[in-house]
Amino acid sequence: MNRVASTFSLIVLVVAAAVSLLAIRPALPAPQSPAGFTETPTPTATDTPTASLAETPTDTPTPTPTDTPTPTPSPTHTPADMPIPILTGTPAPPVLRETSLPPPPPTNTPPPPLNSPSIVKQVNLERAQVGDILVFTIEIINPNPVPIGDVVVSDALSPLVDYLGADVPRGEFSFDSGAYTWTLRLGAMAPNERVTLTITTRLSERAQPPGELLNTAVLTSTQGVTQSNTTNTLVVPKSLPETGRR
Amino acid sequence: MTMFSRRRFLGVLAAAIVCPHRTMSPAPPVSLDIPALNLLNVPVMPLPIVNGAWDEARLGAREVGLLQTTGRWPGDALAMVLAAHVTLEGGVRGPFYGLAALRPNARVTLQTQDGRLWHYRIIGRRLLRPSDVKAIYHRDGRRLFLLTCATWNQRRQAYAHRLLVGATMDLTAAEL
Repeated sequence: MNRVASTFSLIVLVVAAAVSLLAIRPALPAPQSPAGFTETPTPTATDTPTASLAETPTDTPTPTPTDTPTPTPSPTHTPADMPIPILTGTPAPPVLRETSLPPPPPTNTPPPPLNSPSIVKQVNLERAQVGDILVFTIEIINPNPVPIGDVVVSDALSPLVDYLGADVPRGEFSFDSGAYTWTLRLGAMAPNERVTLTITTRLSERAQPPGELLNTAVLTSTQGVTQSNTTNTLVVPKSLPETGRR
Repeated sequence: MTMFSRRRFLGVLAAAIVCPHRTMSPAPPVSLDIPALNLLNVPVMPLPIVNGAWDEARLGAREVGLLQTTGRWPGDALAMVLAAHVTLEGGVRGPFYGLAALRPNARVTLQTQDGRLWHYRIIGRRLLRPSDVKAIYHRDGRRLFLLTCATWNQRRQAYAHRLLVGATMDLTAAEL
C-alpha cells in the first residue's frame, strides 16, 4: 500500500513540476532575434538612412524603391521621416507624402516674351506763332526685366522749325542737317531703364498759319520698330484781327 | 446753395435728363442775336486765315466772323470766337460797338445751320494785346467768345487792345 502511495506522490510531483515549468516559460526572456532587433537602440532623428536600412528586420514592410530614401536623400525625404514607418511597421502612405512635395523645377520652360520698348513724345505748345520756341520731350522706357540691345531713336524734324539743340542724358547723339533728322544711339538699355531727352527748336518764318506741325519719332531695337505718338502744333497768326477803323 | 443757383442746377439737371436728344451737332452758326445791343439776326460768316492773318477785310458794318482755327460749332473741342468791328471808317458803328457795355448775364443767341438755337449768357470780359492770340483758344466747346477792338490810341491812330467777352452756354429748364 505504501508503495502505491509513494508512486502516486511521485507522479503528482512530476506532473506539478511539468505544469510549473510550462507556466514559467512565457516569463523568460525571449530569444534574441538574428538581427539583434531588440538590442538596437531606438533610432533617433539623427540616424542615417543607411543605418536604418541595415537594421531593418526582414519581416518589416519595406517601402517601395521609389519611396525609399537613397544614401543621399533630398531634404524632403529626411532621415527623420524614415525610421518611423520602419519601427512601427505602419509606414505613412507614400502617396500622400509625394503629393505634399513641391513640383520639380521646370527645366525647359521658354522665357516670357519681351515687350517692345515704349516711346512717348510731347511738345510744349499746342499752338505756336512764328518765333516761338518749341521743345519736344521724348521718353523711352524698357519695360522688360531684362536688358534690350541696339536701341536707336530717330526723328525727322519738320522743315518749319529751326533746330537749336538737344539735351541727351547718354548715348551718341547726331543731327544730320541735310536730312534734317536727329539720331540717338543708346545701345543697350538696362531692365526698366527710362531715358528722357529734349529737342529744342524755333518756329521759323517758313511756317504759315494755319499750318500744322506733325511730328513722330521712331525707335528701333532688338525688339523691332516702335513709333511714338504724333505731336501736333497748330501755327496761329501773329496778331488778333484788327476790327476797328476810323 | 442759394435759391438762384439751386434753380439753375435743377435746370441743368433737367436738361440732361429730360432732353437727352439735345446734343452738340457739327452745324456752324449762321446768325447771332444780342438783344442788349439791338443786334438781331446778324449774319455769321467764316473768317479764314489768308496770308498768315485773319481776313478781317471781309467784315463790314453788319457781319460777324467766326475765326478759323477756333471752335467750329457749339460743343466743338474748342470755344468759338466771333469777331466784328467796333467802328468803321467815317465813324460808323460796327456790330460790336457796344460790346464793352454788355453786362454779365446778358443773353446771346446763336442759330446754327440746322435751324437750332443755342443760348448763352455773358460771364466776363478781358483786355488783350493784339499779339495775345493764344488767349482766345479755350478748351471748352460750351463757351463762346466775342472779340473786337478796344482802347483807341489817338497818337498811333489805332486800337491798342482787343476786348474779349466770354459767354457760357445756358441750358436752363425754361429754354428747353
